[in-house]
Amino acid sequence: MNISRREMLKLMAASGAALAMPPWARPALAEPRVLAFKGNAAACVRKLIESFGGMKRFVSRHDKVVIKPNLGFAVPPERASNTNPVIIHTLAQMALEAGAKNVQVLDNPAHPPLMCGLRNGIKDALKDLDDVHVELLRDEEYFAEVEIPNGKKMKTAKVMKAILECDALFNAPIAKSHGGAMVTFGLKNWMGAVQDRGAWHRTYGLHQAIADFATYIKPKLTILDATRILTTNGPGGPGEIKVLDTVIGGFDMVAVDSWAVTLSTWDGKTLTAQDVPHIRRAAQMGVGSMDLADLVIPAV
Amino acid sequence: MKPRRVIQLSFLLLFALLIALTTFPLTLPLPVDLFLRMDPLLILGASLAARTVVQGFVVAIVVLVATALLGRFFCGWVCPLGTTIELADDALYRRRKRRWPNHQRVARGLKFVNLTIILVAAAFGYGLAFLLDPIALFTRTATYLLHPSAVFALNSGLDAARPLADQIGWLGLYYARLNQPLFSAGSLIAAAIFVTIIMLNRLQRRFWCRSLCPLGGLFGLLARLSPAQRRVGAACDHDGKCRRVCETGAIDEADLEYDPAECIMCWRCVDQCHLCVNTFDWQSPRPRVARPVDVGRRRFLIGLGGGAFGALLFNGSPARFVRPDLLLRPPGARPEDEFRKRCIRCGQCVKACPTNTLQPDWFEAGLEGLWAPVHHMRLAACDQGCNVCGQVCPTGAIRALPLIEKRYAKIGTAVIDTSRCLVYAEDKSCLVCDEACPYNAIYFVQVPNAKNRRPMVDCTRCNGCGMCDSVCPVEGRGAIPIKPDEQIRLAEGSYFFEATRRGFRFEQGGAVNQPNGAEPAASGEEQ
Repeated sequence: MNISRREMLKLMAASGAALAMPPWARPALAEPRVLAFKGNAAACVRKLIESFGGMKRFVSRHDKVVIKPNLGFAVPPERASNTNPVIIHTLAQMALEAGAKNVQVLDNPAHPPLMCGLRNGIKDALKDLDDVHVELLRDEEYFAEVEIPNGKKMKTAKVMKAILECDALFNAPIAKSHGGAMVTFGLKNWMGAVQDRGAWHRTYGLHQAIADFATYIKPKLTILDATRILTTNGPGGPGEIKVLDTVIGGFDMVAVDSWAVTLSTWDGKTLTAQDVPHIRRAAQMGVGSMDLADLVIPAV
Repeated sequence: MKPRRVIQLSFLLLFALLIALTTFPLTLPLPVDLFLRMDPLLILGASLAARTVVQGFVVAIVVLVATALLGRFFCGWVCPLGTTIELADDALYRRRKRRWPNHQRVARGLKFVNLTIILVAAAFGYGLAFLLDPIALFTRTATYLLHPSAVFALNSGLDAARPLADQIGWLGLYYARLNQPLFSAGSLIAAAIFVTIIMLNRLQRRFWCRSLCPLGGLFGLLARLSPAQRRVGAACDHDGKCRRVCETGAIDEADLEYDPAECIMCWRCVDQCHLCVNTFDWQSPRPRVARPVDVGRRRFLIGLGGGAFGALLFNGSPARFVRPDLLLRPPGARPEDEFRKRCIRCGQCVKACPTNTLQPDWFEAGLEGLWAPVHHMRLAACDQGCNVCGQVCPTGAIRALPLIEKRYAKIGTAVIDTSRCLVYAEDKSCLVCDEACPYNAIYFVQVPNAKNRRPMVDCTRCNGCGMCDSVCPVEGRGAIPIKPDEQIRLAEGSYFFEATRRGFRFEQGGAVNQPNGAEPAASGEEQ
């Protein structure tokens, strides 16, 4: 069974009474909006997916699965500029276990794709899995133009064909500070799904572009890597790295991002979701809710 | 197939293999510049021009000595260009009527004139060998014409197969794509020269080798010293067969005399002789070559004059006044003057460069700088984990440096063009230069009346790698070009010490968006 964010919000509205209750009294029917698990990264991902209903809920047999991590930089994993390979590995493995036909791990990186491939170590980390393809794409033929009907500034974008055609899309960003977007979590991660990254800065304005694209893209789930986070000098680093051993997940990118803002200071500043224009605008545009009141965040 | 053809093809294959392996990372411990190193005209020419001794010159000396003993064996058995000319000739011109009969000596002296020009120019301190040396020329052709064409053809095939691969869900094929190398128009000249050399076969077989190749000229002079010479027995019936099959038309009209300076030791005369009177013997004492060298006093003087004129032309090039050292040369390139004298324009560095940032220069540095490598940072940056250009340079024009030294071989400095930068000119939020910079050389400053923080360059942390310029989202010309300011070019010694002495520091750890001169903070997470 597939439940989109919208459907889930309806479900939650329907159980409004339940939501009004304190967390411990909530009936099981209310879905958690954001979950966080602490500990071994692979175990965290498994627990997270199980808590959201198991991989079978998102992936059926013979499905084409795309994972969109942040692989933006030609640096090794320990620099915390790219999503933890263990998280990608676990997700891919679970998708295959659920019967996926193949799993594509895709990004259009900030650094030159060729050098990213040589340095980011992700291919090595995934080479034990069959039917998993890691590709760093920038060439025209892998993108197709789509309309963004709800975008304010961005009306069209060239998006990876594989993302358009897949059956299940997972958003697997890493939590980093960001010199332009202040922070980069789930919403900002989608810059790597389009061909012309520069246009987000050049033409639309970064924060608005992020919010606009978020109205279009519909991942099944966002799994945010906070095993270690880059708290200063992001997104490229090198900067200060905090080890949190945490993996955060949710259907609602805005909720995930809003909560992730509270993980740390970012470039020395204490922020709330309100302070980050792209999160605020995404919430205003109906992508999700910034309300942190009823999040379920078990610390395991 | 004749044994000679087998050996020729083997060398051609080895040449192609070494070109293919001239790439990042260098995977096998092979001397990928082997053929260039074997070429005495290139190695000794660069040594003479730069008044130095190019490392590894011994290989070239060995070839020289071997030629004095065995004649122009290199041309007939080893030279990849010679083999290619023969193959092209077999395919395209074998059945065509030639302009002149095989034995006719047409402009044979030109190759000696070319040789003289090159040597005289080298004596004046100018490296000209690159223009016509066959190995440099062919390596260049492979880099700028053959390799990109092959990639283009393969990619076209893959493009055609892609919809099908998509249909049947074969992702490996769907995503199969080679990196297409891109080169500026200067490479077209290299291609045109190659095509011309092939078309010269219309005149006579291997016309290039007979009349134009300066390396052939050098070998020809030495071949006159060789004790291994052709002899024709008394029973010769003068049927003209040997004369007609000779690869280079070295045999005269009577089938008896031959010119060792022309003979490339192909031994087709021996194979074809139905009377078996054609032989090559090790003759002792060495017979005196009766025929004078095919360059009279007049031609020799032309060569001398040409060399001097070439040197003058270079020296007087107006580019000298616009400072050709203002170009962005690869990191580790020696001081500009010595760099140009050593550089043989083979294109090995360009071929090996993984990001495609290295490009053959056109005439920006004048005639003298033709095809020498320059950075095109807007196209791609110099990768900070790669030092391959220096590793593959056969003449040390770019020094082979360890990674850390290469990092401190400062290429130039990034300069923000405030009239184009999105933040300065339009007050938009942008940080792309900063996120790409490997050394935190970009920091931001909040100025009054501006919405967005403005990027600035900390010159002490910028080594000119060009990451910022390559990713700048401004369309067309970027807003943060690299200028050659403060570039560090050393003939010897450590770049690290020199750069540190000048106050530069290119480290990945530590300081976060510090203003000028601030000490980078220590960082424990550095790789």
